[in-house]
Amino acid sequence: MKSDSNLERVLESGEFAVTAELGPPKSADGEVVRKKAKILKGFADAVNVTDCQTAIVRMSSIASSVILLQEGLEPVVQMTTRDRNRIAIQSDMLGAAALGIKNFLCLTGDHQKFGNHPDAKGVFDLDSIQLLQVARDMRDGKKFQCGEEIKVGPRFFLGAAANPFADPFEYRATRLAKKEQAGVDFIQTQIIYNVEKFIKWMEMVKDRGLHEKIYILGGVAPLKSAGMAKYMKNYVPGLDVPDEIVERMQEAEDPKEEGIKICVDVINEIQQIEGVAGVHIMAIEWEEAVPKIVEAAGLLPRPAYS
Amino acid sequence: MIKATQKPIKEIREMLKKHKKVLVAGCNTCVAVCFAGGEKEVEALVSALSLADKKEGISKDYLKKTVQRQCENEFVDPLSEEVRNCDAVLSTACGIGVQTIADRFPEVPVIPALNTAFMGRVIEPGYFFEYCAACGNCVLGQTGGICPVARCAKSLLNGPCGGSQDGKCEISPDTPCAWQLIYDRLKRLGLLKEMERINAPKDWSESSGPREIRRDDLKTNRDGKYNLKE
Amino acid sequence: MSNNRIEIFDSELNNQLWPPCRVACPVHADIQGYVGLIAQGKTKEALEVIRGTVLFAAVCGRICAHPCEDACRRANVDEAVSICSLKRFAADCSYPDLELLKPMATIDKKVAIIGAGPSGLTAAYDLLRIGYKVTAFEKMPEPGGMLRYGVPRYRLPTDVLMQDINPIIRSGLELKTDVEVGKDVDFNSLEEEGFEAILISAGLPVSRPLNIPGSDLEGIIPVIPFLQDVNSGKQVGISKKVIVIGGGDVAMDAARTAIRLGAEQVNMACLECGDEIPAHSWELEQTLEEEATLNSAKGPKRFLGVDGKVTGVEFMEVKSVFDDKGRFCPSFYEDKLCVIEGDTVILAIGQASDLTFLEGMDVELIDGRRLVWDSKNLSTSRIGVFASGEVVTGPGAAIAAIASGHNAAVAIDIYLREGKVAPVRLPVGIEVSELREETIKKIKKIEKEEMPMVSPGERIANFDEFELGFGQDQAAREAQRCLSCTMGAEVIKEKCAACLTCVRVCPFGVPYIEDGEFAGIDVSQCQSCGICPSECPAKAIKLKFASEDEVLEQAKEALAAAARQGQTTPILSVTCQHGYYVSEEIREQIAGEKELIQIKVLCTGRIGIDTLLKFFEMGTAGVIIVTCEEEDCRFNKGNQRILQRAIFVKDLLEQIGLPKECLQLCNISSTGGEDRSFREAVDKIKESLDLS
Repeated sequence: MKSDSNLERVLESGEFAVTAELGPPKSADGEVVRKKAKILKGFADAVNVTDCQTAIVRMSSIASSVILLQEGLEPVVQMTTRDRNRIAIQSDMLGAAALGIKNFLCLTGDHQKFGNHPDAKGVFDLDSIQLLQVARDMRDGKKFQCGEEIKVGPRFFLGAAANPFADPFEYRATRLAKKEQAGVDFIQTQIIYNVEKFIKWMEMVKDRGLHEKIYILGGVAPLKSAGMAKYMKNYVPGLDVPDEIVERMQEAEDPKEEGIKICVDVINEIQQIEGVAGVHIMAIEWEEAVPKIVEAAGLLPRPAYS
Repeated sequence: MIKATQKPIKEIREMLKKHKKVLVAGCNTCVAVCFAGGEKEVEALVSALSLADKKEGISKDYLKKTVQRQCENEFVDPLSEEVRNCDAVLSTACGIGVQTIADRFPEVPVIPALNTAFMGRVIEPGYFFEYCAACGNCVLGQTGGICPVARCAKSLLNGPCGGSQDGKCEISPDTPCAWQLIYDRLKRLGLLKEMERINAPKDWSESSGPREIRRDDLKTNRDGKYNLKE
Repeated sequence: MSNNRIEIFDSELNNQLWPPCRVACPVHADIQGYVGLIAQGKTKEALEVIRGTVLFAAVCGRICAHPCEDACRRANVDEAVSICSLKRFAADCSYPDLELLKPMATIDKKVAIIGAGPSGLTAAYDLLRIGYKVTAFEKMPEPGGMLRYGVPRYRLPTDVLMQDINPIIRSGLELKTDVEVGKDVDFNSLEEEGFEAILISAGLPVSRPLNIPGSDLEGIIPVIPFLQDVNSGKQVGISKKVIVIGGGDVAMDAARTAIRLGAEQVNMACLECGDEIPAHSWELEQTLEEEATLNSAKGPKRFLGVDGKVTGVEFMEVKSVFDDKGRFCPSFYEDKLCVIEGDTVILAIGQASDLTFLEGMDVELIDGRRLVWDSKNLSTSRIGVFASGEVVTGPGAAIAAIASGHNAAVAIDIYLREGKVAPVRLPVGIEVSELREETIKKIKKIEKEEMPMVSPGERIANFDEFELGFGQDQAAREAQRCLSCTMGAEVIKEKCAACLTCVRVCPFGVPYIEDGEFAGIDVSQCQSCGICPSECPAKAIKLKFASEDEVLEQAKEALAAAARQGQTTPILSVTCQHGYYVSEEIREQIAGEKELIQIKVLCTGRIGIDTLLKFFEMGTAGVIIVTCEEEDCRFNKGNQRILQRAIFVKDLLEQIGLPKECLQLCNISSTGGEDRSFREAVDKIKESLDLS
C-alpha cells in the first residue's frame, strides 16, 4: 500500500470503486461543506474536493477536505497548477499530508479566463504531469523537486484526470502513459456521455497495458435539464455530449429523473468494460443525486474497513 | 518583431492633458511594420489629436519627428532640439523606445502612445500573433519548432491539456492548440517519440527580470588598453 | 530655362530614365507631363508644359507625325495613347491669359533668320527669349512656310496656324514678309546691316521635276506651287481626271486637295508598294476613304498627250525599289506597261532647296543645291552662318524641324556669347526598358477614344477641318490610358523598414526586396497607381506623379476658396477621375450638389489614412469618397484599400467624438441598396452634421 487510503484499499481488493465530488462554497461558511458531506457519507469510497474549479474562487480544497475528515469521509484533494508555484505546491502537500489527507489528484486546471478573476496571473509553473512526478518523488524518492531530501514525505495515493474526448485523440493514450510514467496510481476520466468513444479510448489504453498499471475510474455526471446538456455540449471545453443525449433530455417529462437514468445507464455500460475499475460521479451542485444513482446502479453497500 | 497597438485616443489625451507643446516621436522599425507607430501613424495620430483638441476649443502644438529606431541613443540624440522646445514627448515606439527617450531626456515627461503587446510575427497582413515569450531557455528543438511557452495558453511542457478540442485551445475557438500543432509537426518529422518523454519543470529563472546579457568582448572600451596576453 | 544654355547639354536630364515617348520625340517634350495633366483635367497646366518645348502646339496637335505614339508602351497592352490628339485638345482650349515668357535680358545683338517656317520661327522665339533682336525674312506673303503653303487647310486651318504663330510675332519678332533674300535683299548686305549671326531655314520649296518624255505637256503641275496656290485662296483649275505621281504624304495632300477641288477620279501612282509606301498609314487610309485610287508599284515611263495637252501617263511595273543594300535603286519590268488616263498630272516626287541666293557668296554648297553643314554645331562653312530645318536635314516631320530650330538657337547663342562654334544637342534621357509579360497581363485593357470625324462623303465637299477634336471627357479618358512610365513610386531606402507591405499590396507585383535589405521598385514596370506610397507605414515611398501631397494641395485650395465664399460647414467630395469621366450621371449628381467642395483624383486608392485625417484637420466637416466599383477599378481592386483605410479612420473619428458618419464612401455607379450611392452618402453626411 502506498498510502493506506480507503480508496486504495477498495481498488486493490478488486471491488468496483465509487468516488463522488464535492464543490466547496464561494464563502467562508464551513457548514455548507458539512451539509454536503453528510449527504454523501456512505455512498462513496472517497470524495473529491475541487480546487477553484473553472477558476472561480472557492474555499480551498485542503481546508474543505479537513472538514470532510472531521465528518468521517475520505477526501481526495484536487490541486491545479494554475494558482501555485512549485514552492507553494510542495508546501501544501506537506501540510495536507500532516492533516491526514491520503488521496491527491493532480490537475493542470482550467484557464483563468473562465473564472470570476480573469485578470489573475495564471501561474502554471508546473503542468499536471510534472506535478505527479514531484508528488511521487516526494513520496517514494523522499526528495523535494530541487533534489533536497525530505525526512518524512507525504504518502499520497496519486490521481490524475484523463480526457478520452479531447484532441488529438490518437495521442490521448500516449499521454496517459506519460502520466503512468510520472507516477499516477488512479485516473478519473472526463464525463462520459459518448460511451462508444470511451470504449475506443479504452481499446487504445488496453493496447498499452495501462489498465493493468493504473486504476481507471470512468467519470459520469447526471444532467439536470436540457439546458444544462446544451451548455455542457457547447461551452465546456473537453466535453462530448452526443445529440441523442440532448434529445433525451429535451423530450423527457421529468428531466431530473431522466438525467439520473442516463447516468445510471452509463455506469452500467462502463462497468462491463474490461479495465474500468470504478466510477467517479460528478453531481455538480446536486449532491442529493449521488445516493440515488449509486443505489440505482446497484453499487450499495460500499465496502467498509475498520 | 515587437508588435504593439495604439492606445485609445481618450487615454492618450488624458495623459497629455497638462501639456501644451508635445513632440510626437515615431519609430520606423518594429512599430512601423505593425502599423502602430511609424511615420504614417504619427501623421494620422497628430491629425486625430488636433481634431479632438479643436472640438474642445483647445489648441496644442504638436511637433512630429520619426527616427529609424527609438531604442538607440544615436538615433534618439538628434531629437534634443525638438525636445528642448516641448513640454512632453509622446512616443509611438514600443516600451523600449519610450524608455530610451526617457533615459536620454530625463528633464521632460515621456508618454507612451502604444501598448507594447508581444514578440510575434505577421501571419498575414493585419493578423499578428505572439510567437516567442523570450523565456530565456529555448526548447524549440524539442517541440518541432513550435513554442509551447508562448503559444500554449498554460505554457505546458507536457501538453496538451484536456481542453484541446479540434485543434483549438480552450480559451478561444480561434486560437490553435499549440500542442496539437506540436503533435502534428513531430508526427510529420517522424519524431512522435519526443512526446512520450516527460519534460522536466522549466527553469523559469531566466524568464523574469530585470534581465540582462553581458558580453565583455563587445565592449568598445575607448580608454582602457586591450591586454594582448588574454 | 537657364541663362547659360551650355548647361543643359551636360544636364542631369541625360542620366534620367525617360519614357519611350519622350525619347522618340525630336524635341523630347515632357509628354507624360502634359498627358498626365490632361488626365487630371488640368488642361491649362498641360498647355504650359507643352509650350515649354513646342510653341506650335495647335499645329503639331493636328499634323505631327507623332513618333511618340509609335514608341508608346501602351501599345503592348492594347493601343498607343492618342498623344497627338491630346495635344490638340489642350491647344484648342485656348487660354487667353497664357502668357508667353518674357525675355530674360536685353542683348544688343541682331540675328537674321531666312525663312519663317517652323524651324526658323522656333529659333526666332528662343533667341528673342534670351534677349536678342531677331528679324525674319520671309519671301512669301505670310509666315509659316510649309505649314502655311504646303499642308492643306482641311488638315491645318489658317486660324489655327496663326494661333501658334501670333504669340511669336508678339514677342518682338521683326517679321518681313514678301521679302526674298537674294532678290529684295542681298545676302551679303545682311552683315553690313549689323546682323551678327544668320540662320538659313529656307526649307525645300522646289518640286523635283520628272524628266521623262512628255514632261513639257500642258497640265503637268509640280505639287508645291499647286498646294501653295490652293492654300493662298487662289482659283486653281484642275480637270475631272487627275493623276498624282508620288507615294508620300505630300502626294496624299495633293490627291485629297484635287478631290475637294472637284476632281471626279483621282489616281495616285507610286513606285513603292505595301510597307514601303512612304506616306503615313493614317494619311493613306483617309485618302483611300475619300475614294482616291492607289496604283502601287508603278514607275512612270512617259507622259501621253494630244495637242500639247497631257491625256495620261504610261507606267512600267516596278520590280523592286531598293537594292539589297537598301539604297533607292528602282528596277522595272520594261515590258509590263499600263496607261492611266488623266488631264492633270501632279508631280509629288520630292522636294529640293532653292539656295540660288548663296551663289557667289562665301557659303559653300555641294552641287549648288546642298549646304556644306555640320549637323553637330549647325554651322555652314562660313562662321556666323548657321542652318536648320529641312534645307539641311532633308524632308522630314515638322516636329523635327522644330527640334532643329531649338538646336540652332542654342548654337547661335553660344556663338554670340563666346565667339565660338560648339556642338549642341537637346538633352536626352535613357529610355526605360520594356514592359514584361507578367505586368502586361495585369493591366486593364481600355478602348482607345475615337477621334470624331466628318464622314468621307461629307468632308470632301469643302476644305473644312474634318477631325473634330476630343471633348473634355474624351480627352481625360484617353489621357488616363497613359501608363505614366517612369513616373511611379520610388523607395527612400534610409526610411524603409522592409515591412513587405508594398510587396504585398501592389496590384502588379512590381516591388521586390533588394539584396534582402529594403524594398525596391522597378521603375520600368510601376504603373503609378499610388497604392503603395499611401500604404507605406514608414512613409518611405514617394510618388513622382499625382502624389498625395498634390491631393492635399488641391483640397487646401478648394477649402480656402470655400472659406472665402463664407462656407461654414464645408463638405469635401473626392472623386476618382477614372470613373468621373466615364459616368455622365455622377458628373451631373456632383455638379448638382452646389455646396459640395469638389476635388478629383486619379484613383482613390492613393489616399492614405493620414491624408484622410488631414482633410478634417484642414477644416472639412465631412468627406465623401466617390470611388469606382470593385470590378471597374483599373488597378485590380486597388480602390478597396480606401475602404479598408476608412474603417481605421472612422474608428479614430469616433474616438475623437466626431460622428463616424462624417466620412462616407460611395460607388460611382451605385443606385443604392447594398452599395451606398452618392445621393445616400450626401444625405447621410448632412444628417450627421445636422444640415438638411
